[in-house]
Amino acid sequence: MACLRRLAAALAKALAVTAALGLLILVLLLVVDLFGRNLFGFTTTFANEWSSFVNGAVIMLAAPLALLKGEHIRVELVLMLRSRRLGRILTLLADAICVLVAAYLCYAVAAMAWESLVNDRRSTWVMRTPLWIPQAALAAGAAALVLAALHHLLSSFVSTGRGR
Amino acid sequence: MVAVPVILVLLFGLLAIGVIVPFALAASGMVALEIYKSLPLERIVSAAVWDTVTTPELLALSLFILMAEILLASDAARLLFRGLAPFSRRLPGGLLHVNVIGCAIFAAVCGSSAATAATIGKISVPQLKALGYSSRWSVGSLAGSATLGLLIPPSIILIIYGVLMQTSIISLFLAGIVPGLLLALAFSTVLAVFARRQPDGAAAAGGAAEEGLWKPLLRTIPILLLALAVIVALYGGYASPTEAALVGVLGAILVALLLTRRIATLAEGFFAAVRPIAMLGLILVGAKILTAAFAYLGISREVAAYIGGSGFSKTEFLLLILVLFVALGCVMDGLSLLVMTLPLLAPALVTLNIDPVWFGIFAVILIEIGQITPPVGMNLFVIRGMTGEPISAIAAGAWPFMACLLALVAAIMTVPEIVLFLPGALK
Repeated sequence: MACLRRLAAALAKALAVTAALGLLILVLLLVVDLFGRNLFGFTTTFANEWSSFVNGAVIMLAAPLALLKGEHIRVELVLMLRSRRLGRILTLLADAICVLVAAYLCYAVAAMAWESLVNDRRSTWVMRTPLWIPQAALAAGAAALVLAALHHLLSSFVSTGRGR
Repeated sequence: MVAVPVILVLLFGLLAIGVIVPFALAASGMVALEIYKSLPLERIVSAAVWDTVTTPELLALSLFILMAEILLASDAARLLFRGLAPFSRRLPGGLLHVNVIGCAIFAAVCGSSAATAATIGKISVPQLKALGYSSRWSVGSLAGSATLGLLIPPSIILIIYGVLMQTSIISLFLAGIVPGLLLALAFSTVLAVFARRQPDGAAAAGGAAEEGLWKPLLRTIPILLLALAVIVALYGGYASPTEAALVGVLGAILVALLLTRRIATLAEGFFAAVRPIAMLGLILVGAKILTAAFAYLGISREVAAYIGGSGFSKTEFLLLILVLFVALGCVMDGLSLLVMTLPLLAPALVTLNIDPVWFGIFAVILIEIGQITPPVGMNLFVIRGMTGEPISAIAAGAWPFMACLLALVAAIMTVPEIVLFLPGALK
């Protein structure tokens, strides 16, 4: 159990670092496009297309760390009002639902990436980028999101078991 | 419309037990689609994820967040406080105006209310406390002024509204300027009239006051230039929101290097930015799944027909929204409230012929009220985290500013041109 939690934390951090690098690439893509167009008179055919894909990857790759760090918004009023025991049980239930939703998102995105790979689907933009590449990045982020949600669930389970 | 109560009960139930907002939105939409429609759910969900996260409009959101995070990492707020302190201490209400002016300027480079409260408050609250300013006015004016972050462009919540409603983000930004400035003016007037008896503040900002008026202000020029560059790029018609945000990021990188002379500051900014980007992106994914459910189940159409047949006037509808947003804003975060209600409200806006740009500003002002309304106003929590003051005390200090927000709501309902004049004039 501890091993899974360590794995989830390490993976979430590694993917968030990848997302930060992705953000840097996104900025560079847009800089090349902006300066190329305005100063040197050439248009980049790839910047618009790839920057949107990279942005999507940034969102999904950083989502697991955001979940582990408690960044995602939840309504805390009811959490504050309910009794300790009831609170722990409801937290377990909420965390279990999060695992299920994350798992379904992961399944749906992975299936989309797989179909794109098998059917050689490409973007409708100029570069005709194979769609499985950015979609695989989304699937990787979604898979790590499942692990991060499991991490939360296990933590809640452990603290409920210890009566904390 | 039998699905509507089921979706709402499910959604509020999931939120109440503590499911994170994006997953509560997504789960409600998915369950409703599964119960009421035999459609390939997996395809609807994957399309919602893909379409949302790769929307080109979201690039501006990511870049504006990055710009703010780089500036936060570079400690630009301290410089801003020291630059503004010598001027504001001469006004009735003294250094309390730093909260208003600082928040208004910082709002022009950062699109979040909570981040504005945290950044300006981290510097101003300890200084004001040390100088003997009334704690009630210090934290109250900060809580109120930080709401300017939502209204003064670039505003993250306006970008999200624009993406969800498919409304021009530039028009929304333009529409936010006049109400934002009016609000800042109203906040400063409140301070000048009701909080005029304050200490002199001559020793403010770590001795900045002794350096004279201009020297500390000159040091803030890079930040002011950055805000100006973004504004000119956006409103001069030179750039799209994404390009203006890119100009902002490049400017923030220069400011950070100038202030800290450390590359590590930039790395901190990039790493810090990805989490709020992911948080907002995932909320939009959840909202998209719920919206898709509303569309596939025909709810949007039925809501429009219901509003059309109910005989609701525009004013009655808006007053209903006002009560709903202020009431729900007391118990939930404003962004969640917006993304939850927009799928239902959007068709009603069309039926009642309400301008979506005007409604965006109206909704954001209502959300601002929620930010400073107990028990869960986001700004109240941020300031409590910084100062340790009880929520009730911060809320008590913020009520004159809430009154300004309510007055602004009344003003834009009476004179919609306050909002629509600039977008119309610069179209």
